Amino acid sequence: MRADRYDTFWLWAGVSPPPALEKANEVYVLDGEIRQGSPRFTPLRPSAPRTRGPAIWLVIRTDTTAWPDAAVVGIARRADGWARNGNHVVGVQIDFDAGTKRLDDYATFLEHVRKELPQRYQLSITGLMDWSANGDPAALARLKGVVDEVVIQTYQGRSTIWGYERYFDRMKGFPIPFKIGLVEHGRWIEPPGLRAEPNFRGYVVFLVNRRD
Amino acid sequence: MARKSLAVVVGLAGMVCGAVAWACADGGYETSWDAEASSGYLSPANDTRSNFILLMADRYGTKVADPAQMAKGIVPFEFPYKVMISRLDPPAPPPTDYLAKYEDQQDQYGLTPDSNYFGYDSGNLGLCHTNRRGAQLFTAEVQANPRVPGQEKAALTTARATLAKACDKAGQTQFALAEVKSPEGRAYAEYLEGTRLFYAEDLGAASTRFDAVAGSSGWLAETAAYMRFRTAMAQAMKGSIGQWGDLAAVDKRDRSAIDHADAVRRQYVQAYPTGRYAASARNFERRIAWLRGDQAMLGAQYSAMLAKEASTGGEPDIATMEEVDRRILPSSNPAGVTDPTLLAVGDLMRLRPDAQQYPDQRGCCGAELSREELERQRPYFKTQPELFGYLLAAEAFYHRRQPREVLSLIPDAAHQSRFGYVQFSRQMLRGFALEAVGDRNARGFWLSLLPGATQPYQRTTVELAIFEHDQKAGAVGRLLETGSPILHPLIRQRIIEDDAGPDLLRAQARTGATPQQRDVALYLLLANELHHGWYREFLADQRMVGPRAQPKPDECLGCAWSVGSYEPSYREDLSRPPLHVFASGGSNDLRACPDVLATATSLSANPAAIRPRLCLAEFIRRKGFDGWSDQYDIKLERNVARSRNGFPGKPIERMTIYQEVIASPLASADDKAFALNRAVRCYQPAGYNSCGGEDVEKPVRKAWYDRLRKEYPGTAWAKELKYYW
Repeated sequence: MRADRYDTFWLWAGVSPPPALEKANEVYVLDGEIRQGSPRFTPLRPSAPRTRGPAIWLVIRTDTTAWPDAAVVGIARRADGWARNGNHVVGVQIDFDAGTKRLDDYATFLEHVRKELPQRYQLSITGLMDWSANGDPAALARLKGVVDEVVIQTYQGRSTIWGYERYFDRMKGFPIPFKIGLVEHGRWIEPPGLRAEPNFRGYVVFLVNRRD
Repeated sequence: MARKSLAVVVGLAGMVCGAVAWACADGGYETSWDAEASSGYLSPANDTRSNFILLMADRYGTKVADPAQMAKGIVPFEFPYKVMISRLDPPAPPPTDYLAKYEDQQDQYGLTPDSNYFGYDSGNLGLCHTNRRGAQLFTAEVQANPRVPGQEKAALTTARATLAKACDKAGQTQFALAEVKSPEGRAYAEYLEGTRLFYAEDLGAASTRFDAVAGSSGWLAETAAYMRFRTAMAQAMKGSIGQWGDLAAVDKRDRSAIDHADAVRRQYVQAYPTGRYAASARNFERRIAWLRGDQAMLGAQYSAMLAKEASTGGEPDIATMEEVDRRILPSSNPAGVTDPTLLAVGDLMRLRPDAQQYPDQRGCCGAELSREELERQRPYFKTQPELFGYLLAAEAFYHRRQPREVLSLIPDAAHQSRFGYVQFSRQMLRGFALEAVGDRNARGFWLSLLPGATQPYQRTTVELAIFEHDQKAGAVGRLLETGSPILHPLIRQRIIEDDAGPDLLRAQARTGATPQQRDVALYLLLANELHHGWYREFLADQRMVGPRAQPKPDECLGCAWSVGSYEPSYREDLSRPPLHVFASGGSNDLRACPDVLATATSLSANPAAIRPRLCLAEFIRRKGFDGWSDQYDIKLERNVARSRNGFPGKPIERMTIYQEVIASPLASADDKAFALNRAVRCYQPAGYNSCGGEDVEKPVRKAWYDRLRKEYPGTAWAKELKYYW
């Protein structure tokens, strides 16, 4: 798939912003990491963005749901800082690989985040394709009331997950507004019926560097 | 069930590009995103940093893994770099140490409690790390200076102490230094204001203050000169940040700010060649080269550094290695690089995917490495002929696909008591080449590597190769026999899961190497027997289960017992399979049915008995066996029912049972209602069939539903079903 045909992107730390970003509508910008057991937030971007125009999501990557007490307030403060820089910040995204079997715990954690996060920020999460296939419907229903959207990842590392078409059979009727995350240069053929899904909100392209 | 291949790396080494050390192109910071592969031998498919660690082990004697970590749980075959790193140190210290480390860090930075967790925003340049130490030096100097009057000393050190605790608030801080009037005191005050402005990132103003005290003498003059450089350096960094908060492309950086910083740096080094900060200022030469995008300079600098470590018996630490990796490798430009280790890591990266087969993936790895270019590197490998020989062979194997060349480049040296990683990698590559040419001694060769494969990750690597060999030959069963060279629990379990037939499962259930392997074999044996109608055998083998405790409600028993669920980064051991469902009392919670032992007893007398058949289906439904026989067929692009573990015939599927009962003239009203209810529920909740058999269209499901409501309205099965799907 080619990035220049899309308008919504995920910008990881360390990825050189490609020309496609100039025309973007919406960009998910990784800010930093909350790591299990680490005493400090780890910023992953040398500096805050200074953009004019695209809607910006501040992305926090994490490997734990045991966040320090002040974490959400701190994230909101960072989002405010980005907004003061002139960025059009629309929300916060949490990037956490919640295991399909642990969705219910994750929903509890997200309810807490939503409560602490000021209403001016939407809440987005990344999700796995497996949720739609094997997730507990009750847990998914809980998420529905808490997050504004889920960006479903179709890739692992730099490659599209083999057999993603099969999972999409079960995406039908996914209860939460969702976007599909694609990896730049990955393999992608749109599954039939996806566009007709009432909760489908388009694609997010995960940009990758080229080394040449 | 889709099976993840346990052993893809051997066959695919060199073709997979998911394994880039994902250090960013411009090299600013660490990202651990998708570097998927590390292994026990040098390989293009490895993360560059993993290859670095293996090479460092040979060259400097550094560790590859912590023995205590390796003694615990499963040793992985191929695993993310972060797993390799996490196994490098002794098991993690308790959280109290984190706290101590945190306090240390806090001390260094000198931040207010406001910034306890988040520190200061990543919007700034991260200058505060020298705040506390700077305060100590300043205070000591002022106190020791006889030309500063006593009360001025107090005012100056109090002011510095304020800043020492609140670097993040430097912008708002105001010093009360009006009473400091002596010339010497004024110079310190001037310097102090410069320091405050520096931490507040008001860099232009800071620089002016430092300039103003350049004419003083001693510590103050020297430190101000150094701070002028740090301020210029911060300015250069600031001028290198792009719109997205990232490091800008080289041509978009503020070149004159970078050059200015370098000029100020040189002034300092020239004025104070053995000064207090001379080492620091010299090390900044690398950072300047990096900001300038001067790869040749960086290559030369890092090469000199690695060579110096080797000649002085030092060893580079992981942080240094990672810095070299992210500064040098992303450009895949070996300009200036003369160090054999660094060249080898870069060369392997460039041997990754085949440009013709995977044109999209070349972006990760730079230009393909040719034999000619490798030959030009030969002089740099004078001290490391074995490594160079390995690279020549790797080029032949991975780039030009000439396994016979490998055999002539790397002679057989399999019999060793202990392999270094380069030696080991050479022999592994020879083994792959033997496999590629179909040499009939390949298996014997692998076996002969085992005694010397004593260093971390080496034995698992050889075992995997033996497994792959036997799998290709269709003879993995022998690997479970007594005296087998395969000790690795994942390989053994994988054979049990995928290759063992009924007899081997039964034998493994009795005499398997570990309780886990015995349980997996027994679970597969019993589940398959039930799915194939082998009720008598089931009842006989069930006796091996013995008493089994029921799991507690939130216990994850059975959630990840299969090799396909093994994840080196998430857990170290697989859980046990849910054998308790076959234990006596393990299934007496089934509605309208006895437990599965009673059901199997009835079916062994009459395999067509209607209620027991429905009860077998109920057991399958409630105890997690839906999808048991499903395997994804890549050609058909859908799941198909296949028998597992070499059981003959087609496995029983629930839907077939329901359809038979629905059609049977012998079934009672309650049986029919039960079957109709369950057949309709097969499509719950989203209209997809989870019961196997033939799929039916929605009108058929509606007809079942209507029939249940109309013909059997008095049954509990009709009353509880309110919808169809």
